[in-house]
Amino acid sequence: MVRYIIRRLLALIPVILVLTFIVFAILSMTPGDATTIILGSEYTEELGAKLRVQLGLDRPLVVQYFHYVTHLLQGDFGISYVTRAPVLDQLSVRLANTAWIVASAMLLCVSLGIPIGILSATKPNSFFSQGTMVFGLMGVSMPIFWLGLLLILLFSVNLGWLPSSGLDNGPKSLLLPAITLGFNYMANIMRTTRSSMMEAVRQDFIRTARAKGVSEFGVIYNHALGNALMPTITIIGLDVGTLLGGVVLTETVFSIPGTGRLLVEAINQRDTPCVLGCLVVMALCVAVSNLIVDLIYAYIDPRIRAQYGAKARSA
Amino acid sequence: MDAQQNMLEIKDLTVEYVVDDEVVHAATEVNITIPAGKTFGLVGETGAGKTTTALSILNLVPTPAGRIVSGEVLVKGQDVLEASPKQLRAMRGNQVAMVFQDPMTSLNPIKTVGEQIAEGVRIHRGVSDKEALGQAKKLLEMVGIPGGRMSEYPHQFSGGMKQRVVIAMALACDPDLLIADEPTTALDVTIQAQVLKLIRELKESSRMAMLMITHDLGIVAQVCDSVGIMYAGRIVECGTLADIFDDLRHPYTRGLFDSLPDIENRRAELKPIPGLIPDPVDLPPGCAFHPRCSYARPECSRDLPPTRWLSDTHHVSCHLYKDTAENMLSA
Amino acid sequence: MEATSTAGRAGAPPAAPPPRAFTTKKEFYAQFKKKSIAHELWLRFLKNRTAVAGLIIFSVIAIVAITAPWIADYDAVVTKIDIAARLQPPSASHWFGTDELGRDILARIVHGAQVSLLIGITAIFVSLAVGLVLGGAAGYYGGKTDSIIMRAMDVFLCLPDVLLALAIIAAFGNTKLNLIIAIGLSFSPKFSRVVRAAVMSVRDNEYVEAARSIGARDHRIIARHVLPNCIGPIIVQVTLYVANAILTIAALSFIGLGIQPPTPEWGNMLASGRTFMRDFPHIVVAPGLAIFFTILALNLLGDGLRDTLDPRLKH
Repeated sequence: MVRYIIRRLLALIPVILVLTFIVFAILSMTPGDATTIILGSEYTEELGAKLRVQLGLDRPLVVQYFHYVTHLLQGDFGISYVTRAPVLDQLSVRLANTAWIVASAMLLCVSLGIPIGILSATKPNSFFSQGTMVFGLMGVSMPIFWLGLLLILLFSVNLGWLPSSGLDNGPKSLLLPAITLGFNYMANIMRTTRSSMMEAVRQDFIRTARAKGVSEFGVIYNHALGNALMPTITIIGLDVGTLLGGVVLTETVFSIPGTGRLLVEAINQRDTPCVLGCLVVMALCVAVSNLIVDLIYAYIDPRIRAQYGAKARSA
Repeated sequence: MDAQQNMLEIKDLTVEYVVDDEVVHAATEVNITIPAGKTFGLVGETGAGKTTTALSILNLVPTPAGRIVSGEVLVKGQDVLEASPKQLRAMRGNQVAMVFQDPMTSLNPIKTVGEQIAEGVRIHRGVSDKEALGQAKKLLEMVGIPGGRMSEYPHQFSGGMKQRVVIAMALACDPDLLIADEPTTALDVTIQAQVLKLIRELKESSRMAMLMITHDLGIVAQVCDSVGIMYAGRIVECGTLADIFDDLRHPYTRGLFDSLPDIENRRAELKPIPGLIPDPVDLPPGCAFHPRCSYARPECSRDLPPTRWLSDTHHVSCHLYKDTAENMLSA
Repeated sequence: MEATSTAGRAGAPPAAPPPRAFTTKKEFYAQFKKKSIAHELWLRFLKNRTAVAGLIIFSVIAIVAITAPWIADYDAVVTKIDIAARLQPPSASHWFGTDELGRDILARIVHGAQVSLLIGITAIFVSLAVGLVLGGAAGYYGGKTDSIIMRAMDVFLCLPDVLLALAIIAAFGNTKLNLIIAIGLSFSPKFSRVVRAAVMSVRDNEYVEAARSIGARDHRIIARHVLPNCIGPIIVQVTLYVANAILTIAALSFIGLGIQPPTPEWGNMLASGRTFMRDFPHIVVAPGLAIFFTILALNLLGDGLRDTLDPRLKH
């Protein structure tokens, strides 16, 4: 099992490298010279040329990239064109805020989505179950930035219960952003859990369990659930990408100083190192969450584990 | 026969499935009696209603579609169809156990084989996990699998071994009645022989009654004490092994035996039963077999055939025997 | 001996027409021709009420998008600024009210439909083209080709759609063309996967082997045998991804990096209206509803197509 983890971690490295290179290459095609942005009104040909050499912008792309990566591994994300300070400074502050919203959203979605999905699968034709299906469909179709605005209208403007922006009000200020961010995500989890549970319950081994005298509860939770969890976990893990995409929108709607907003600001200001930094961090998060999903898979499904460690003896 | 002596009594069982507004007559007025310690073979082609009958014994007919229309199923005198869920659960796996047809899909892929066997023991005997697993080990050995393999997963076993695991699971709590639904059909011929041998040994060493569902008359000859022939949801002939093999009366039974290739006469032409099994949604009127029967008479297409007892043990449902007990089939 | 079991069955196919003299072989065979598969699938689709609802809603939206210039003249209504009439709530003359510059919101939504649908559908077709080529090659040839292509795609999958689109926009600016390319490229990895899976499931079928055994060349086999049978899942995904693409456009426009005002786009309408939302909530209702219903309709349609085309889902 440990071998499997190490193998996957090692496989992650080339992926990250290629990914960052691609983003790097794309961003290097930004029209306009970095030096004009940095120097702004103080720009002169001479200063510009000097700065270019200083920043290494006259070197070939691959060399520039190599420099970037070596610095990256030491935790140096480069210097922001706008603030003249290390990108890492801004990034680390903002990242914490983003982490709060993402974590709360995930917590909310998983703790609500999975149980509701399971319950609605046990009684497929009930009102509750049909309602879940409808809610699920609405949920994945809902544009979250609109939802955020509506929630603000309802809970902040009309009812005054919850703050409409920022994270300064303690846990209360996390609630609306978490719901907004996680809305599509939760709907997806609910639908997937429901359908994979319904599929699992139809399998033959469930009939065997019932024939052994296992109670309905035991059948659902001991037998069906383990088998049904795989697609759900896939969604939970692989949809982290959706969450990160939504982070940009949620932070914009709720004016939260996080990585998403930083990315947008940096794009508007043509602050390439900062843009690069944000994208790299986000990509890393997605890659890591994919890895975690794979690991959980291997933990749950012995067939997958068998390929990577335990000796499989077939009769 | 004292009613309490009979392990299983199915009386006039009728089961339907309703799918898309169509009614499938899976089993109609089925009567089966199995005394303690005896093995009953239920023979018929695929779709004849055998599995449905078996599932009803455990009241496991899938409910949204399936419906038990009428009849009684008495296990040791207690009506299964009227039992509460709690009573049913206490009985399943305990007094009555079932082995299903396809070993590939009968086992939970993410639980070890030992856990799955031990589960039944834990539920019905109330012992600790450790003890239950210990029992599981012994059961595995009883079916010929090394006990150390109990911590392995189903995918690590071959088809034949999986089926043995399933049998071990079924026997975990020493059931009084074992229902085996085509236990060897999905296996290779050589493995079939092994599993059958195991079943025969179990039969001899315990007082367990058994309902053996199969379409293979060879298996019937090896393990069964009595036989019931099922066609389109009805039992058309039923008797002891000798009754059926030596003195068969129903044209369908004759057809079944005739369609077996004769190993001693390799050059003879095969004699299949002409025609196809009827659509269970739209059964022919009267006797369901009449379109394919070479003895068909006018009344066969109008009226349901009466059931005639030819002896204490042998009965047949055919218009041929309405007025006589003589064998009406040509030699 | 005839089988009589089908006689008199309710709903049996009508009796064959009485025989007549045939003059050509074609006529002879024509009498046996069953209803085409497409017809049967259409009938099956019609039984799914939610799918039909989705189709109807989307058709309405599409028709509105196509006829937009005739419904509301662009210069006279959509972009004409009329400060005196600003921020009026819904009324008889302005069904959805007016926005912060006095423009009729309904007219802007109608034109916004044209913008969103045009870009969304074009982008997905770009994606599809790339996906067909890459996924088709990977699925059909397997082996090394497959590994290389899929590894490349895996890298891209680490970057969620919105972020990849953002990277491209950051570098190249947000013209309509760039949007199409950015969104198109960001969906290509997903499409490649879908196409690859579909091709792989068909490739090993015997009719492919049969075609190969009579000497048909690869591209002919792919075009005439493999692809037509993969169409099902591909169509489903096209529908669902168009929904995603439209959402992405709206999201990008919302944060200011997509379609810029004064061109009406549902996302940028929400963004500009947001400032006035507290006192004039009507301004954020209509554009959001438009996005929501479009995506909902496409999701319903996509799910319905999936159910229709998947032979296993009879229950």
